[in-house]
Amino acid sequence: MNVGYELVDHTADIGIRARGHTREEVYELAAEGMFSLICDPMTIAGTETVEVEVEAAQPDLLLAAWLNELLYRFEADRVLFESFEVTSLSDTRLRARVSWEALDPARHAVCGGVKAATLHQLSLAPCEGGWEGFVLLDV
Amino acid sequence: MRVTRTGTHTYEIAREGAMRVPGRVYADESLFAQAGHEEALQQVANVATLPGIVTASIAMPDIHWGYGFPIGGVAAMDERDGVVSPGGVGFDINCGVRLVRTGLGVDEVRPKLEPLLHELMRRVPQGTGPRGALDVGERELARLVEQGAPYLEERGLATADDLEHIEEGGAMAGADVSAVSAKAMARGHSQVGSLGAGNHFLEVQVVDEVLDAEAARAFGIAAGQVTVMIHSGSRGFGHQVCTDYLARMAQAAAQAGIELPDRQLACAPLDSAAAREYLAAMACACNFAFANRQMMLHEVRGAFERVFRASWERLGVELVYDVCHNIAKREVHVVDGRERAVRVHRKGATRAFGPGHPDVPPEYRDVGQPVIIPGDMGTESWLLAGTERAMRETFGSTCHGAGRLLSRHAARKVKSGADVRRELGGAGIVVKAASVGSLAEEAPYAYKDVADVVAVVDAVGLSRKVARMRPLGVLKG
Repeated sequence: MNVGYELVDHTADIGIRARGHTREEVYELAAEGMFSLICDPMTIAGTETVEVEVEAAQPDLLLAAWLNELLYRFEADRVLFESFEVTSLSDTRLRARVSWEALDPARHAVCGGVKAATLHQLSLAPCEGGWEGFVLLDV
Repeated sequence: MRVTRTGTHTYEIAREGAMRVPGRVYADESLFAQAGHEEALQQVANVATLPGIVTASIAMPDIHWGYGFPIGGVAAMDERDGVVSPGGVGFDINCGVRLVRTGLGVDEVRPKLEPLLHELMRRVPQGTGPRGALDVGERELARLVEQGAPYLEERGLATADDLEHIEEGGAMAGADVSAVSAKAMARGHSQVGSLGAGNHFLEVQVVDEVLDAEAARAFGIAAGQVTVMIHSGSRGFGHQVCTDYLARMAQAAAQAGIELPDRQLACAPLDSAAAREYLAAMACACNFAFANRQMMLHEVRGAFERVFRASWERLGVELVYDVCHNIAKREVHVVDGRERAVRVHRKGATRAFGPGHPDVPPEYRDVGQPVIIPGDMGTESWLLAGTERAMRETFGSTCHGAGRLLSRHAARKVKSGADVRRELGGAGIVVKAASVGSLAEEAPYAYKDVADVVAVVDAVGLSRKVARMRPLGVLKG
């Protein structure tokens, strides 16, 4: 199995497929994939960290809720996220430590907008050698 | 799925399985083939399963595969036993277009196009990062989203005449900020007066052809005249409202025993608390978007004043109309010979009320509501007028734009953003963009030909061609 994320074509939107050895890794990779659409990660130096906690009714909905929470913080707090570490996980709750840097339009190559993680075709399931998640972003 | 061609411009998806009504797609053969993704048609069929849907699940010629509802979809739900679905409005609540006319001709504007675009770029923030032209703070935002564009009139940023030329007068009824989350408020307060990213744009255009002289006269439009078009929505505020209520509606649908073919179609019965609260929050997001586009008009006026050294009143920078294409509205329509109150979901579809309708501004009432159809940045946009036929067939709705043909990734593979800018420059179109990469994604070949889309709604009679505008300069998100 190739661990990582790939961007998946969709007529009007963009999908992210993330594969990891563990479920934690899928959540982390999906967040990396989403932020790669917002800003060139090479321009971010996430020197500060913040704890993020989200809840949802089931693991796949938790994937959308996690990405939507990060989008909210990006816009409301005007910060960019660089690395994501899930520190505790159940079917309905995720806690993570995330590194961030304040948004500086002069220095950060913000390249695109993501409106939200949708529920269309949302999935998170075991696959050979680990876990695979899919989420479609409205961009 | 059984699809049959029922006319030169209509296709029907037969009712089967859980569908409560048939599906109906307006398209000619070529557009239908382009829509041709099985997924988009399946989405038309999925919407037909929602409780209370009346007559048909309808799709316009710019239909393409969305998330949940197809883009280009219209669905009217009975007010008594129907539902409202946040996915049927979309994340960008009240994404819409406003068309502004000027008293300037193309020959006066072309020599000053570069400084004009530069001034617009300075005043109207575009892309994901920057703050909007007006940071109202959270307390004032509460007033703004409950009042809509009239809030800006109080602050001298809108005129009474502007408000008369906005759908709903720029103020959706029923807006209640107590239904809006703290997160939406936090995202929204710094974004009023900002274009955003993706397909949003601000364009300086010239009217290059008038097809209906009487309607054009009523709309104050003439060949050779310079216009400005603004395409934007409710920014992070609306995105957050949709996100919040999708989660809530998923539970509400389960409680109401509604089986969903797609979770993005999550919905709640119109007489439930979840629906009432969503509609109160959606109205706030609609008002945010009306105010957002109004604030950008204020900045456009400032830019024209600075470049042309005269007041905007003297320059005739006036609002023709502002119309939304992502919304769910309570309207009364005649269905099977009797009046029924319905909640019309327009997801990438534009209201197109016909002549005589009381919701059309008095000076336009004889010719029908102005319908504004943005094209892609290299070709053309259209001004249409609403018709009686749209009232009878599509709950007063028509298409909303060109509709995507290529995915963003596929479009990037065709040409680079720099090449796209060079080619548009060669055609005399000045382009300024927050991100050069987005130019490649939004290149003309990524979209269906808007002329084909408009030709279908004109031929069917869902709206009438009035005038065509070509771009002179484009400001991209």
